[in-house]
Amino acid sequence: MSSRLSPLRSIKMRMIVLFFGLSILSVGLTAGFAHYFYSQAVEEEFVVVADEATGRLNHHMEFYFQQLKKSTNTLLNTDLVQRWLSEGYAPDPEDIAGIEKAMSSYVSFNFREINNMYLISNDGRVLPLNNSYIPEDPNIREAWFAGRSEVALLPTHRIGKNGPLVMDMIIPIYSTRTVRPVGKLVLQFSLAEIDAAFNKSRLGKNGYFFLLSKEDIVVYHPNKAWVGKKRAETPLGGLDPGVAIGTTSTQKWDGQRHLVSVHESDYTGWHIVSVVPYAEMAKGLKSAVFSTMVALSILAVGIVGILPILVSPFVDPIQYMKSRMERVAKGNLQARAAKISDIHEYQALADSFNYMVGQLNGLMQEVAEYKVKEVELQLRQSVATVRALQSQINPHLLYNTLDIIKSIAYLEEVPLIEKIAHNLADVYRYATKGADQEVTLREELNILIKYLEIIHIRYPRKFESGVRVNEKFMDCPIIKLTIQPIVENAVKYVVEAKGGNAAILVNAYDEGGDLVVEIADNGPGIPDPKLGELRNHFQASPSSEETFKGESIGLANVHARLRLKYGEPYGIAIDSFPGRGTVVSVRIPHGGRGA
Amino acid sequence: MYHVLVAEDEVWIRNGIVEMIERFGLDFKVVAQASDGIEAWNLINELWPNVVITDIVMPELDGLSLLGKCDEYKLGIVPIVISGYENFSYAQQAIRYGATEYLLKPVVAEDLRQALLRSVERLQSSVHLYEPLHQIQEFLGKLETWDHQRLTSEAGRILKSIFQAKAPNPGIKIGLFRIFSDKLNEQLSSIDPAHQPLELGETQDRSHVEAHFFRLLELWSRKLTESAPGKCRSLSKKVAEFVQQNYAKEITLAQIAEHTDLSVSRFCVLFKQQNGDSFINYLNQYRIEKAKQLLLEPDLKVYEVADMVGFSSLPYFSRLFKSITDQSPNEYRRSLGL
Repeated sequence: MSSRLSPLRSIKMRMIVLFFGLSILSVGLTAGFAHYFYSQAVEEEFVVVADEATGRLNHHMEFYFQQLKKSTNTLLNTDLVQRWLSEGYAPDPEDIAGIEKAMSSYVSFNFREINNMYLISNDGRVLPLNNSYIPEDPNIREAWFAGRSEVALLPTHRIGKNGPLVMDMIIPIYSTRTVRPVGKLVLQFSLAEIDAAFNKSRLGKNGYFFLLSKEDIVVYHPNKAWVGKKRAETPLGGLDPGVAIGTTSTQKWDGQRHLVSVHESDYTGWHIVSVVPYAEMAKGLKSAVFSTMVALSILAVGIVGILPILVSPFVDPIQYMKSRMERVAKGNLQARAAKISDIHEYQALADSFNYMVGQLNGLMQEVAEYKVKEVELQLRQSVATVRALQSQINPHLLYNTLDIIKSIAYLEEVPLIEKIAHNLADVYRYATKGADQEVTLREELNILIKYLEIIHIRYPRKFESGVRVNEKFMDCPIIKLTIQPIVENAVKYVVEAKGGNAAILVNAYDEGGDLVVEIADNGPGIPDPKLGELRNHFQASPSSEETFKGESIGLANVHARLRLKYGEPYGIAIDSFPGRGTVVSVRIPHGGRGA
Repeated sequence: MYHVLVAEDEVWIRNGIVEMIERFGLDFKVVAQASDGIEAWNLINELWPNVVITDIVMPELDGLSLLGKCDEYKLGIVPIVISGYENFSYAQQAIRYGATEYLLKPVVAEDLRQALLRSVERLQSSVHLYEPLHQIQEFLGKLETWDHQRLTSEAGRILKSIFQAKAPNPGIKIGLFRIFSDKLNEQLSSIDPAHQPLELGETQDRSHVEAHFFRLLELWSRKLTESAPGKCRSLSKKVAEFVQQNYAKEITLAQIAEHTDLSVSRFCVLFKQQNGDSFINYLNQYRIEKAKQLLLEPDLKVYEVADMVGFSSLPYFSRLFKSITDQSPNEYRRSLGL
């Protein structure tokens, strides 16, 4: 009836899960939205910061380059330089010395980071400041010697294999007289100034900037080892190159999320890339997540620890009602619910329950009474039927006739007939008077013995019987006609079937305060189907109509009468031993006033 | 010997009971059998048995009513009731009339024997009351032979003996007076149909009782001389003819009284007066005489003879045969060399 219910399905567990789930959902949503908006804010903030920093840096760098270029004007407009550059100039060591002197003074007065300078004439002559280094890189060579009218900046490159990192600025030189380009000045300068500028402009702790040329060469990077190389050749290749100018993106690089922003320098055409590890920008987010987690765990502990206490005023009354209902289900209709809660819905429930059980109880009693009445009625009807059958034979005629038979037998001295007539009259008289009254076992057995004597006369020297009941049981009360019909049944199915070659034994014993009278025969036993049918009859409510339908007042009738009078577990039990016999046990209460 | 009357309408059952009592060999003998209540009552009044064994359901008068009549006489007749019904109200009624034994049909011989044995003690305390009864019976037989003086002196003697009798209770004496009074009234009625019975009442006053009986006797003597004695002669002849024709069948007192146009009591008195013996004894003797003749027929069995002369019970026949002839039927046959 009550299968073991999973505790997970209890109200308490469900409420815990529900509350817990709701809490997690709300906290999660909060965290999610916080995360989202915070990320947006972080990105926006990054953009603002990056734009500002990049702008400043760009400006600074451009200003630096312009200054660098402007500063050369004086130098380049000197006659010496103009002359040297003019076509068909015959080299003059004095002039050259003069130019070199002017150049070195320029360097020392202006930009100490200038590593070298080269004057290049349109006809390919080169006048270096310090040494006559000619770049090996064909791109740079071409840039040096190509004709140009604009200032150009070459991406950083290394001088020689292990030389310093330098940038080349190529400045076209115009003739002061003809205003035509006459040559170029190549300024080769170290990254000291740029380095300082970039180093000053950092983004947070770990954020930094780097420069990329149009050719995707790393112009500047805090890590000098990567400078001058193609971006793809350095770990920077992991960054997405396709980032549009002026946008910000979040990229996974070097095992970390980074915010990457790209700006273009108008002057140089280079890209200034700002890179900040996301974690750094999103420190606030981190603490927000942490606080969410803390809140969540406090909630979890709270729900698990406190919820049962909070829930119990709602769940306990239900548990209590459940236990009451189980009692009722088990048949205890006296179970009532006490005052269980101050919550008036529960009190109303308890009141309704009590009312319901009360009604149920009344109804059950009515039904039980009705049932008993019905059974009694049916028994009475069956008894009435028997009586009606009996009354068809006028008892006066019957007993007189039996006495006449007996008298003739007496006169003719036939004692057997006398006995049959006499016993038959006694058995008949016993059977017809007061069917359901109680008699002593002695009376019942006395009649049984008279009945058995008739059977003995019928089957002389064949039939055997024995009634072995201890004297101490003889005064035990028993319903009339309980033992005799069972024996009669045995006679019908065993003794007559075997032509009298059969035995019937009756004995009695005490068992746990009950008296059990056993009627055993040595017949073929009862076949299983029939036995099952009989037992079904016994188990069925005694009101079952079939009990009384049979041809005779059979075993089921005896059982029904015993059950009706004495209740459970009294009545008849049958044990069949195929080929050996049948034992019918009649169980009646004993020890009340017996012995 | 205690005298027993068996009243039972079923002949076989009656015979069975009679036979049982004969076979018991106790101090009891069956003096008469009745097949209905009236016959039983007539026989009781004629034979004054000590024990009445009666069925309840009987024609004419049922057993319980019979016991009721007996009880009125307070004679201490011991009733034994036999019945097919185990009916409480019957048993209650029977007990009220003094029955202590109630036997169920079929009657078991041993049960009857025990019942008879148990009644012996009761019988012993009342048996001396039968002496006055026999005196009354004797007196009635002499009503027409004695003169008035003799009658009054004899009646005075009977009354005296009743007054002197040691009765367990005064009711018994009253019963005896009543029987005497009733009997005289009956005789008066039979010779004078206009006679109004004189009631004695419940008195025990000696002079009152004596006066009552002397008045009855005076009436009797007067009426007797007034009435013409004519039928008396032919009575014996009529009875003899009837018995001759019907001895093989059952003959009741009622039948023979009717045949002779007399009341039963008057018939009994007249018959005794003329023959010196009761009609019952006369009938028995007649039957035994017939039996004697039949026994001479060697082909007939004794029980066949008994049946042919109106006895259905062989032992009863045998005992009666022996009491009359001093020989049993078989001894009788042997004595004749048959």
